[in-house]
Amino acid sequence: MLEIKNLHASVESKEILKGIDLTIKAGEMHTIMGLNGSGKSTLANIIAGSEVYKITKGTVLYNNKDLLDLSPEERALQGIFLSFQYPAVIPGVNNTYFIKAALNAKRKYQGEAELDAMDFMVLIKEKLKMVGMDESYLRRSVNDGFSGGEKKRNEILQMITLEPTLAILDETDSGLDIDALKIIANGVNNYRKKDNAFLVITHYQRLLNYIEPDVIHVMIDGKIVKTGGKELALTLEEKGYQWLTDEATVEL
Amino acid sequence: MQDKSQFETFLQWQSYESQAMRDIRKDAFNNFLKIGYPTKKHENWRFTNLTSLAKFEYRFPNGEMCKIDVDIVSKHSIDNSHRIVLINGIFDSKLSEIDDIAKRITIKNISESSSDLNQSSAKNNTNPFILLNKAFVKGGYYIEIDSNYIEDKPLHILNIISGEKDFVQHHHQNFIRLGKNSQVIIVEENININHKASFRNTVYNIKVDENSTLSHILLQQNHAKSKELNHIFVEQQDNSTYNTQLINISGDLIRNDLNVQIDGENCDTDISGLSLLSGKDHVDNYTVVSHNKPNSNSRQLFKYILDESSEGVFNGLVTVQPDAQKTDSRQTNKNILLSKKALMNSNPQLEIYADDVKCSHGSATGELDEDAIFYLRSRGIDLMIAKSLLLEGFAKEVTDKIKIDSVKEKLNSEILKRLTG
Ligand SMILES: Nc1ncnc2c1ncn2[C@@H]1O[C@H](COP(=O)(O)OP(=O)(O)O)[C@@H](O)[C@H]1O
Ligand SMILES: [Mg+2]
Repeated sequence: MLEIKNLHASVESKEILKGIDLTIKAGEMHTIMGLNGSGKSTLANIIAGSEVYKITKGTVLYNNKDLLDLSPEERALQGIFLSFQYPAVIPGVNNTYFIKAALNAKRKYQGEAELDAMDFMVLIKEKLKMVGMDESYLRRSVNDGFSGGEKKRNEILQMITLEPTLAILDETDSGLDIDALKIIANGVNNYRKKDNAFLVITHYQRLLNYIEPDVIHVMIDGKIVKTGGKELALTLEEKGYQWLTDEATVEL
Repeated sequence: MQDKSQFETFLQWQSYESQAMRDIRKDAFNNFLKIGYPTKKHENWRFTNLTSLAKFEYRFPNGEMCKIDVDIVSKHSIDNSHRIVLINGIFDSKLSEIDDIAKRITIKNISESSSDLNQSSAKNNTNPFILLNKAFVKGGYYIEIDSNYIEDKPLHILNIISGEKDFVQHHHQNFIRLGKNSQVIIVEENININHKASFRNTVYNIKVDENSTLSHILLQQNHAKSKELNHIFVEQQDNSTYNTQLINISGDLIRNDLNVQIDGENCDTDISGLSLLSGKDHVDNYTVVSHNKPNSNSRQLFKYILDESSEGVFNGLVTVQPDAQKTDSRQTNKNILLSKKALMNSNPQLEIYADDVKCSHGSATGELDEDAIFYLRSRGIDLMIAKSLLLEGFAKEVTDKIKIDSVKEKLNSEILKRLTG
């Protein structure tokens, strides 16, 4: 589904991604772990179509087609979704109106009839329940005055409403209490299917108590330095990241 | 420049007027000649280029009534409102619909008489455009709401400028008077229907008496050859409320000088503005809010969306006089530049002579939030729609103050047009 080869990206001539290789197949859940500043969000944003970064080398294929050519909205319409680490706050734009516009854009793209206000309300109320949000969130402006946890729930609400093919969750678990974490994990688990895939970015092992990734990658300084199974997370929990840095240096 | 012969010709047309009135006009015109048009050297006109005004010899509407298509009036009509139509400043009773309120609300043309003009708040003002207005005043409305009368339906005033000639001047004086314990909403639309160059120069005299509430929405929607100057004088008495929204949709030059004297206690004053500018539009909002008595609140919120080579100026002054303890005053100006060539000048000011007051002011100018655009696009929302959503969201703080749906919808569709047109 997603095939990243030797991806290099920089901002203001500072190289952030230094050769990423990553292949995700339908039905899989991948996790990227790594310390702050290693480039995880940069990778996520580039997949979603951020124009802030300059791709200097490498390719990204999505369903065997060049992804880097597509606008962010085109990527979303084709099934890519990013749950942002820091979701934008948009005063004055109503949350319901926004999610409805997004859903209808997608339905239109897929040749389906757009939902009218009534049908949409029925749908969104059901989804709200699944992420433990009450209806008052629908009346508010997008993420305006939302706490950290509320913003993350709002991201998951959008995910389960838009039903993406490839969902990237960028630290959706950080700053959440255990109940919220369970709700988010539930949202993810319920939505896991054989024809969609997840890329879950986290730097805590905590989330992995609730979701079961197939593959774990460790990212350090713009590169994936280690790939393994679930046990890798436990090792990281125990030993931290230092041994990997040492290992990487030795390999050099 | 206005020359003497133009003025003499004008006086001849007005030959039916009393000597007192002629003296007022002559006086004003002589004072105008002494002062002349302001230049960029004048502090209050630093950012405003008036050379285009002085360059032309303006003509005056010579009393001929213009025929207006009924369609134009119905195109602008607002559901559930009383309609007052003025054409070149002259009240048109056929196009207006006010029968059922005529008992409690006086609606008429001003009589260009010395007694009316002596009531004007601008009586002793030396602003050259006000002098010009006094010298040439012709037309305008006088609206008076009886004491103890509350009108729920808005009064919709259509100020139409029409005519076959280019470079016509219109100098109007409008009066809005609210008696005690009264309430009214006025939606006033300034439009030009023939695409002729025009210059509209209006003095508003507004008085809001004790316990009364006036909502005044002013929609300024001209075309690229029209210039519009408004001098709005407001006086508030005890426990009164004055809300106004100045909405500038387009126009070569729009300048609003709003002067609010809060002469009563426990008053509420809410002033806001939304300017949607493109091309070479230039909009100035100069406000003066003077707190002269204790315990009143005033809020100002001006938002500008500037595209292409448009220019905006916000200059707001709040003064709190020594008597005006417990004043609570806020002043905010926020602007979005959609183009590198657009320009905004913002200058909020405070002068405080009392010690127990709460006052704040601030201004911010920026571009559309790139992160927010990316966020919306990452959800499948098209770039253009993303931008218009953000602009609508930006304007919402002002548009939400407008409680009349059709006016609000019209504004939102104008915002959308900014981006697609
Ligand atoms: N837009 C940007 N401008 C400048 N530096 C950036 C930008 N985005 C990311 N960086 C830098 O790139 C590095 C990686 O950041 P990021 O991808 O956010 O890491 P992570 O998500 O792993 O914490 C950091 O040093 C960060 O400061
Ligand atoms: Mg990050």
